[in-house]
Amino acid sequence: MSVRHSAPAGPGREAMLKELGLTLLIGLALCVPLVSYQTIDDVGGLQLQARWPSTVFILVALVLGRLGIILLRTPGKESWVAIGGSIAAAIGMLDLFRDTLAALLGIAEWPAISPTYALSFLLGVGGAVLAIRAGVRLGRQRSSVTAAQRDARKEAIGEQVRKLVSVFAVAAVLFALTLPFLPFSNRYVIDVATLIVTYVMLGWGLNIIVGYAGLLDLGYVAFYAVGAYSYALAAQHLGISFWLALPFAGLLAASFGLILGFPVLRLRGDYFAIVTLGFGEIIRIVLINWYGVTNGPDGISGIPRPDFFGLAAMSRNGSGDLPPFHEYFGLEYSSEHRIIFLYYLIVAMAALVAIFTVRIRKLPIGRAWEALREDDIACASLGINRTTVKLAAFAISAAWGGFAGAFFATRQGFISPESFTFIESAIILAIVVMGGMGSLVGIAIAAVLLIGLPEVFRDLAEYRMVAFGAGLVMIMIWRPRGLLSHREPSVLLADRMPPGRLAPKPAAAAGEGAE
Amino acid sequence: MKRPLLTVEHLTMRFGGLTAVDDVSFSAWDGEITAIIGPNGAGKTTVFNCLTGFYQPTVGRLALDHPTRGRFLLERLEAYRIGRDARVARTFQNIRLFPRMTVLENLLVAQHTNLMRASWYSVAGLLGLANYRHAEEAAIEKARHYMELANLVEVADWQAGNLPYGAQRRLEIIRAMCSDPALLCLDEPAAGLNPRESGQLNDLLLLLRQEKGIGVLLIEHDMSVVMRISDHVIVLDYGKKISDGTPEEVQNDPRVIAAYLGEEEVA
Amino acid sequence: MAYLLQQLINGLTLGSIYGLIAIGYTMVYGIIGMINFAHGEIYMIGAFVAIIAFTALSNFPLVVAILLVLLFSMLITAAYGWTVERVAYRPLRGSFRLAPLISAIGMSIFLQNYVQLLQGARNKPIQPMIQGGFTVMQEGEFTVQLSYLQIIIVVTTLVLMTGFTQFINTTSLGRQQRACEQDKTMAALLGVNVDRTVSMTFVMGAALAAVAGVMVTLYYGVVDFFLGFLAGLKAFTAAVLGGIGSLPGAMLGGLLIGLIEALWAGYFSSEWKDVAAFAILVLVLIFRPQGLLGRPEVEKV
Repeated sequence: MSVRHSAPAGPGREAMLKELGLTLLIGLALCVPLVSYQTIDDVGGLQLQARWPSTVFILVALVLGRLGIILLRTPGKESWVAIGGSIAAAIGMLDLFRDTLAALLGIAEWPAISPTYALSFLLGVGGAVLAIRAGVRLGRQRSSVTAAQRDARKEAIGEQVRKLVSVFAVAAVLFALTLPFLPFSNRYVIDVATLIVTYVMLGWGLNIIVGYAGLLDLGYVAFYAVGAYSYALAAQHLGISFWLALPFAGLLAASFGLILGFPVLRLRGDYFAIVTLGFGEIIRIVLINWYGVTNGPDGISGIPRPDFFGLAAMSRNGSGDLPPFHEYFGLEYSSEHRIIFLYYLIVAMAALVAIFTVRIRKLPIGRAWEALREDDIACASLGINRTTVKLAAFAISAAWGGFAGAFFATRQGFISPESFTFIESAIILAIVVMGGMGSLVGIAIAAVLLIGLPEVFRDLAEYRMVAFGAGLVMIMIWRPRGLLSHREPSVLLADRMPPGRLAPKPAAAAGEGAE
Repeated sequence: MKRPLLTVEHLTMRFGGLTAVDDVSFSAWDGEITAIIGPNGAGKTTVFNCLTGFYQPTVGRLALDHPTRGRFLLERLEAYRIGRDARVARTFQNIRLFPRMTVLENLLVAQHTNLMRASWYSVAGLLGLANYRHAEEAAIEKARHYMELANLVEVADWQAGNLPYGAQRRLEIIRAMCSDPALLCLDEPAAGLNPRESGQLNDLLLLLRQEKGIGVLLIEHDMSVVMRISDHVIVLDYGKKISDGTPEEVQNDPRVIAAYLGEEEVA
Repeated sequence: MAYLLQQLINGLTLGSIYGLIAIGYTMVYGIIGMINFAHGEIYMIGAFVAIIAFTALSNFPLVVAILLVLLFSMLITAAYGWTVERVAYRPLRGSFRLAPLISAIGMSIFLQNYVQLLQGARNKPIQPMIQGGFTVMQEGEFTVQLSYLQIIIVVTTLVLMTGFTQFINTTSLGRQQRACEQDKTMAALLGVNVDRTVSMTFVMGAALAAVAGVMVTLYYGVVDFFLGFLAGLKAFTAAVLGGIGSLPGAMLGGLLIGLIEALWAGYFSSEWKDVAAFAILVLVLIFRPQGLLGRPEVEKV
């Protein structure tokens, strides 16, 4: 028996034309000056250069895409959408890879249909999405599975994913620990890995305030900056070593968190977000303009590298009274030693954050954070002091940011206010949001995707931030709870009871991943 | 004579030009269920919000005499201190659970103050010291005790938001109980319940009063609940107290009948 | 004295521009309770459309060109405002409470880099078009100038503001907007098309931001893709300072922020003027979150 979805009857021809006309009109307005003309600096002032082929292409694609979406909602027309979408996807992909394909087949390159690579890509992806959605609809109509069965199946898949996640987490930890010794590993790989793990740590740090306490902090980079500058300045002016400075960098960042947090934590959610953004910008402007201390936009250079726990120096000739690392351990000198050392340093710091987070989540303060996120009025009625609980989250989050900042300073050897812009905060936030607020594994995956992928696709650097912004919007629309949205309870009564006493979880309980 | 647990004197709450509660005085004793009834908009929830610190009363004194902790003037305390120090707990008209947390977690959050102290503000907890582990054990045991009373043990590990409506109501009540209140304020606990759930709720309330000997303040529309379980009834109408006494007395008070049925019927 | 007067004139001009942008923040906040973080970018797009259009119309008589550009930029920018709401915010109604703000941040980053990608990262300068002005006062070496352009900016803003307030207060669309502000469910039950009303709010806010964009293009003669971030934050500060949700508040806040910034830059140092704006934002939110003309909010229990 086929279960038909009660889709609304397809729109009439007139309504359809009206909708397409509106799409064309809006598309025209979006495209006409900004896409169709490029401003070129010329000797005689600005000149305009027309880009009509792209404009026309976009408009045609937009109207066809809209038509596809309308037909998708019209019962009986799905197969047309599937065919059309597939054709568009094929054209896009063929255009995108035509040089490679032509070379492979040994034929001359054919003229592309889409004017630029970016448009080929969009055409390919857009067509594919339409085709897949049409395919899914068709599949649903043909199969005899009811909605309830489908939910149950989704549920089972969710359970599988959850099991896989824990296996994956163990594998990821092993991979991270052995990475420098794996056959494909080289300087570049370790550098990228160090960068990724730094962001994993920042993401886990921010997760405490955003993921657990549910407060949107848009100025997290401020604490990162405080940590970085406090180590850089302490090393430069006082000659304090990295290991001594590290705890202070964290403490200083935490104190900043307390000072900034105290007045603003009682603000409503979105106001809080904007105020933290304001603080982030203030700190950056101070760093730029307080020339006497921070050296302004020129930044601080020559920040010392950490030594090997006070035993050996991580440089070729040693420093001061410390012997060089390779001599101390009787090894051949290699410039990679320092890179590997820094890599393990950040892995250890990130591991510390992870262990701390896992533990604190099961403590009263951790539960209070999550309760606050769920319903802060109920928290107050239960005698929880909202301000101090939030303040604790804010300060701890800040401390981790400060630690990461000190590491950043020592790894780069050079810091300037340019590294601490709002975009940096937005990237860390995106990692947390995309990963699934509260999920450590999800955040790590998101960091790999958001930091690692752009490193791999260096050629596409100019598209990075456009894709990033669009991605943030799309996550909010399609997976507002992030990639891994499952919340593991901090304590289970089932662990303390004979089996079988408790009722199985209802289907909906674990189905939250699908919301 | 024994001092009342709660003494409300001349409570008045104005919002701009509107007087939601107008010079209301009453008392509540421990071991008793005191019901506040009245038509919609009579100011019942506003009284609760003043008692629990979410509103600052315009005029009035709200004194709570805790049997062991002494006297608290609620109008001077912030909301969280009323819960933490004066030990007044409450539920909300439109249930406020922590929906993505489990039933057990909800009950542990309610014991935050005790657990926080036992974990030495997280230090002992982070180190996994024995004293914290014992405290947590005790807290879970307490939660289990209440879950048994409210018939929720089976669903202890469910997300609170996935419970049926009646179970959510009961959970909110035992969550309030887990914070060791001297006075429990229940805002329309029977609203939206079917007769069976309503019966379960009555049993739970009677059990709590009998076992714990605490004072219960109850806002309720369902007269069958009020008349069956309350010891003492206060009637509000348009922000004013119009009657005060045992259920029987109030039931037969002409002013109450007038308020509920309209003036002309009495005239 | 003369110096002060000059700073006041400059501040008033700047403030008018902030005020025009602030209206967009305030209206959107009033109707759907979200901070449209991408609004600064909408204003930046208005400025870019203006600079392209001015270049295209360079042979037209000045007055005609300005009017055409104004109209064109309002139209195009309004389309962007509409699209942003439709794509990034409407699907999120009913999602968790921070979702629209995160989406708005994504939209803001997207639009900034989209314009950079299409038009390049460099500053885009144009020739000054309106020059000259009055000498208001002479004090020793120092002359206080009131340029024609400044008069145009302030007068345009005043006219738009008056017309706009009138529009909200008298037309049926304005009434629907005010109804949605109070209670969307009830408004929908009474036959108000809530989606359309919200869309129109974005369209109007964007059109006013476009006017600000055109004015700023004329005033400074240069635009770049990053223009919207700071201006947006300052305009938001203006909206908060005036009392978010209040139209006269937005204008008042805009003028105050403009004046404070001009005076600060004139008397202290221009490097720190952005700190002044942010500090005001933080202080207002902490001590008077309802702003100068707004109503205080009560925690809903």
